[in-house]
Amino acid sequence: MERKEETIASKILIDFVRDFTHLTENQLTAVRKMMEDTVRNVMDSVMGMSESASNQKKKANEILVHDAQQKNLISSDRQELEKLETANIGQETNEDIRKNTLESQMMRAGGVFTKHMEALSRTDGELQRLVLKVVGSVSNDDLMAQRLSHVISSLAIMRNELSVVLADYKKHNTPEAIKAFRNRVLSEVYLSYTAESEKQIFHQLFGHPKEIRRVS
Amino acid sequence: MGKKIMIVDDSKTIRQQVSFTLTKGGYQVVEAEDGQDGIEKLKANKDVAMIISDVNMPNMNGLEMVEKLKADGNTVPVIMLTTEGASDLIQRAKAAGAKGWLVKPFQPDQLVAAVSKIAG
Repeated sequence: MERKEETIASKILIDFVRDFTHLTENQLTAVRKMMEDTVRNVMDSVMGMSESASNQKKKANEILVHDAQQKNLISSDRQELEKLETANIGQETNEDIRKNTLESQMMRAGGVFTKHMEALSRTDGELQRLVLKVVGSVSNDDLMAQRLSHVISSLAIMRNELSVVLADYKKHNTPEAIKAFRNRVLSEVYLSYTAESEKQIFHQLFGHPKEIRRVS
Repeated sequence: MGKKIMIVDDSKTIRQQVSFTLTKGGYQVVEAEDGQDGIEKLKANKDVAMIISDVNMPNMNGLEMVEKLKADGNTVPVIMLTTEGASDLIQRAKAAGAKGWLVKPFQPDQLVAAVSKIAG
């Protein structure tokens, strides 16, 4: 009779160790998936930033003025402007025509600058949106760190409780003692969880411990 | 100058992420490392319009901080930003006066929307 009890107790212990191993494996797999998702999201955003910058550069180039005279006007300093003015004075005798020409050139140059600024502003807005997406993705790090610490603490709980049982296995080798050991480990582990997703993994293996209440 | 928001979290990276997001949203940000630090910094920053707080922190956790603020008669609105999703904790936070509960990882646009709704 006693021999049968010991066999049952050993079976409960072995089953529990097996299920606990599954729990640890599933929790670590979930953290790995979170890490992979985070890296993928960050990489998507980085690629998006690169693509956005390239597109805006392309658009900016499209609106660049390729006309040599306007290019000169845009990049000219005061001396160059005076040269342009002198050249115009030489070609035009009418003062109004000269003024109109210069005003027209200045307005066109101003328009080009405005378009450049708009393109830069669009790029800035798009990049900020992507940077915020990266920030949102990397905010996973806190959750991953917590979940990893819960896995580590659950292994420590198991080690401590198991060492008590094994220290005097003859005494503890009864179904009741092994069940009590199992319930202690499961209660402590479950109470260490904070995220719903890690509790769900626990529920899938051990059911919902309705009797467990948070200590703190 | 935007309204002043306090972020209380023992994780430096979370504080940086929230600060970055809210600063881009036009807010000023004050950082605190735990509930105790939050209460101390609130005394020096009486113009804080809202607090965003983690739950699990050393020294004084987020719920204890909310309860202390309520006991002291401080009416600054608080929302919790945490990995915790337990309904009993959410109820406790609401009973203590917390205005909202956001679960990490947070989405920047949702965070800014929540702050805008509560702090204006």
